[in-house]
Amino acid sequence: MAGEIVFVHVGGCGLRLGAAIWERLGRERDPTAEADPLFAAAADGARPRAVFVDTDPADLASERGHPGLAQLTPGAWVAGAGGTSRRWADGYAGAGVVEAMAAAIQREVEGCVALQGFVVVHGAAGGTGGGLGARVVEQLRATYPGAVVVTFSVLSPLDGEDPAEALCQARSLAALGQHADLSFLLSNDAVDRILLRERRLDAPTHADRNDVFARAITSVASAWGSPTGMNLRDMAVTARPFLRTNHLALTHVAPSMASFDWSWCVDAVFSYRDPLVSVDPRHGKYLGLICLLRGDISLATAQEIVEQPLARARRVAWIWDTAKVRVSGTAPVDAQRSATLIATTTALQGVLKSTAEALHRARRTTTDAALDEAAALLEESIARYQSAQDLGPDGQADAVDEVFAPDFASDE
Amino acid sequence: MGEVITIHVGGAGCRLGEAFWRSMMELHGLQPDGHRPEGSGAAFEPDEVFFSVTPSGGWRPRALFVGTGDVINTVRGGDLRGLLHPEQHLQQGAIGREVTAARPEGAADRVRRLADACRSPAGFIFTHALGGRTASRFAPALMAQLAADYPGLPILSVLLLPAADHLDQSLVTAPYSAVFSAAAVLDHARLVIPVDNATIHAACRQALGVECPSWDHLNRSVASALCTLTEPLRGEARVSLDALAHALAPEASRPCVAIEEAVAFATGAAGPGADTFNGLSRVLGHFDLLRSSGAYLHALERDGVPAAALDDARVRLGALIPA
Repeated sequence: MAGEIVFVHVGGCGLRLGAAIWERLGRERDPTAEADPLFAAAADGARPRAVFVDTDPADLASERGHPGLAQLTPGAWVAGAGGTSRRWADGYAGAGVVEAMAAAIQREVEGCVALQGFVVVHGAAGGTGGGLGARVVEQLRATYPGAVVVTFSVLSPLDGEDPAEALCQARSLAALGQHADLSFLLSNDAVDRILLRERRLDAPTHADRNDVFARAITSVASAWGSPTGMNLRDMAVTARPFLRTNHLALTHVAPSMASFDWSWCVDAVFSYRDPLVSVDPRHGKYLGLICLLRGDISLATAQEIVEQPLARARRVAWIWDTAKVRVSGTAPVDAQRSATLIATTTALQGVLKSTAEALHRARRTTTDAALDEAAALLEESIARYQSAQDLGPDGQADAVDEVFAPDFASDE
Repeated sequence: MGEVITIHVGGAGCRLGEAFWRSMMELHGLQPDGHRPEGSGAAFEPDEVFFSVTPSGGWRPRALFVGTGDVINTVRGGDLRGLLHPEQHLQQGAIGREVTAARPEGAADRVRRLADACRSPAGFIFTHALGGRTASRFAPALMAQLAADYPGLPILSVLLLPAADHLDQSLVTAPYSAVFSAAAVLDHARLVIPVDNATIHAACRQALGVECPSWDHLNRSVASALCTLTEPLRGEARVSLDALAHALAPEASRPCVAIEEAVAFATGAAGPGADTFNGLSRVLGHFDLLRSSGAYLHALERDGVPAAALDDARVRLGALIPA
């Protein structure tokens, strides 16, 4: 086994998503496996290695009865005295739960033989998810320096309804850039488009969205425990060539029923259509890239299938072999096979840009040194993405043109 | 003439080690339990250079397998399970660290037990990969320890180079680790035989007529070459490991020899004029590409290998390779 991984779910969004993730992971778990990086052995079955934290006790209580979380011990639930009402600073200050949370995580770590790392699941635009989420990441990094810390961060479209969202999200992204090894971005507007196309849902609920998010997260997680997959540390390294540039990753999952084959799945994840965050990879270059195939396929066949779309993908030319192909034997519960692309691309600067712009708009009503710092960090990060994108094979500037347009003919 | 101890490190090194010992079993007609049936058809009787004799009269490889849990479990349950003593597998290494913090004391201790069972140990043969997790730093550290414990005993390194493209299982940082550990290996090994999977792959396709040779094919092919090139160590006109190293690489400061050349030497055939440095210079090219961009340096730094150490290794390795 590649070492244990502990999940920390923070804030309302992190909790609800956690329930969806663990339900799916529970169904996909191999009950015959001797050791599982994500589950600890329990008296009757397996217990998720997870801690659930919220400042709002009511939110926490409503998730406790969820079937996927029944095996958790009472100590894995940490509640504060009241919510943060979208105040990032309140969440970061800890709202009285920091010590209890650290103790709960420590208990979970003590049950590990060889801890690999942590996965923090949270909403970046919330007071608790964003502020306390950033605090958790920072604290994990300081307390367990050898462990990998990645996040699944849910972004808000920041359409201007609540200026506090923009402030929270800007500070979260700035903090994650400093302390997380990798942040997988998930956005609500992106998932709404997926739901509209896949299921014809034009008014999706949180449960619908969480189902799609959970599908992506469990697909990424399936690589961590598989001998032919990729462990968390290698994934964090592969996806992040530069410490100061790219801590953001996009995931793109294409599950397939019987009628579509592997090539369809792989072409789909390499297309511009519907990654789980609203960016268009055609507007940038891939920096790090992992293609994970789930289901009954050999590594050699997988590599053969990925070769063509990979050759067409726009990658930075000056990095040796940034693409890796891996296979995980377990197909998703609701599909025969699936392909997952985990990629860092310079196009992800678009997320930083729109957040920085929303921050700028929202700030007209407030002055705050911490926001100045967040804005500066975002600008710095954007500039680094841009310079990575501009650099050509010989260190010379290389303009991004629009030649990359994959054939994606399976549109309905 | 003295005994030779083989040491197989990391996933790739252990797989090759298994393949090598399987070939040896076939060569000597050994059963899975290490016994040799009366009237065995195999021409070559095993001898005590590579094998020790168990109390029950079986033959046991003088070998140590070192790797992470998964790797060692595979060896334990594999074809050699009846042949090896439990002390000949050692689980070692942190999880998912590509350049593992190297603490070779445990392995050196196991080697000492193997050496204590020899009348006069004559040297060590390592099989290990560059660019992998366990082997890339652990093997050089163990070599350093053995060089200190057994001064004068030669170390032969069979060095598996990382493959050229995304088709292999290596990590993105493989060119860094490969150059770093290759330079460290050169400090301690008297003879280095680089094995380039790309070359073997092509050779297998040609020789076996297999469209897409598997890892098993590649390992078997390298293993049989190893069997052949170690032949002089155990044949009729037996030479020592030191003498073999000296014959193949007269200058200790230039220890690299192509595997084809070593095989040709052992069989007395004319050398095919193979390019020793093909694979190594390709790895250096990858290193240069990565290094000039500065990509992934932070990951190496976090594992305790600063950029200056990488550059130093690059210079030392580059000095070996004719431009």
